[in-house]
Amino acid sequence: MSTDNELAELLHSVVPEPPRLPFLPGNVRRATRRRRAIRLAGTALGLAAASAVTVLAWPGPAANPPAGGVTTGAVNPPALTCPATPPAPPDRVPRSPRTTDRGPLVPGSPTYLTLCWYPVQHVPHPGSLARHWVFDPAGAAPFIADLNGFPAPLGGAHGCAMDDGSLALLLFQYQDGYPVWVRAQPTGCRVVDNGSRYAFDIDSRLLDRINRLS
Amino acid sequence: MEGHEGFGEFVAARSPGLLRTGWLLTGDYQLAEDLLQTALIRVWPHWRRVVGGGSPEAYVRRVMVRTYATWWRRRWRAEVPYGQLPDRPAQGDPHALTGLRAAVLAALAELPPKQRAVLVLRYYEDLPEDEIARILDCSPGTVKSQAAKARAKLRPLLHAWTGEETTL
Repeated sequence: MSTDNELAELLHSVVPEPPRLPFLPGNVRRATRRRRAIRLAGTALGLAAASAVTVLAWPGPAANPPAGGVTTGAVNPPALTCPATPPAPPDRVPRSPRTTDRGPLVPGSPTYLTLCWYPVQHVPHPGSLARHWVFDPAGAAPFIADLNGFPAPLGGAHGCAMDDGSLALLLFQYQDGYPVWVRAQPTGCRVVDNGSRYAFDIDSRLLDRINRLS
Repeated sequence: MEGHEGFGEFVAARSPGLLRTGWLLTGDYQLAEDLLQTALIRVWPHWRRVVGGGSPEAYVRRVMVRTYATWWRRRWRAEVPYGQLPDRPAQGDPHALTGLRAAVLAALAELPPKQRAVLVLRYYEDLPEDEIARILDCSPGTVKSQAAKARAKLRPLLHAWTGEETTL
């Protein structure tokens, strides 16, 4: 057999069966329409900005908030990119000036959310980035409700059994910058941290949501 | 929808094959899905023209490869090369196949994006060199040289797989 054929055979032999299509042509249509609308809005904003002869700090249409309740991030590369590995406890996540030690975990109205998932079962590198999703405000709302509904720190010792090391990072993007990072440990102490405050013993809602996405 | 006749059927029929190409390019079906969806979103507004060109699949593949090259420049790729190559798998041994798959992905991850794209298009898609040159916007000579370099880098892997000394 020629080496070209061997190489072709090797490549064909290792490609696994693709998953069932996670998207439908309708999604493509909707995403395209929204992208067009965003582009039009961006052009209008750009013209308005130019006429005002004002330098605006607002990132504007360049942020390209992806359309749809949830997208795989393919509509446009998200402005907030998931790190290859998340900051792991005891390191804190970066603290946003918009968060406080008594305020909600996710203050205000983020423009979109990038959810990064680092499962311990990830092959071949446990705990590395396995998947990310990008949500528009409507898609992010249930996550914000979950996070802001978790209890405040209770103090004292916490039972941290069954910590498998999986982590989720939720990166909330705001129109004026200063993103809020929230790290969630769905197992063990089940701690959520936004850099300013913790919440412990979160229930399984967040993990359930992530599992439903996977 | 007007101007988009056949789009849904095309996506349903051709996506598995395109996803496989995407997997070889990205090393990950989730990224391959992103890659394919991005390509489809870019193609959709021009669907009528794309179909009129006679080869929508080739067009989508070209958009995928170019998008992949763009991502490669911009994004972390979640690929880490392996130091060791596995033995050739026994027939029907799923664990050995997994190891071989990981080794192939690792070897592909070490290739520059253009070489990887050339390798996939040439040896997986079995496209002729001039077609690959069109897709990658380069000369057929460049395709040839990139393919030779990619083959040389995969030589140890192919050797391990065939169990024979191989001249590439």
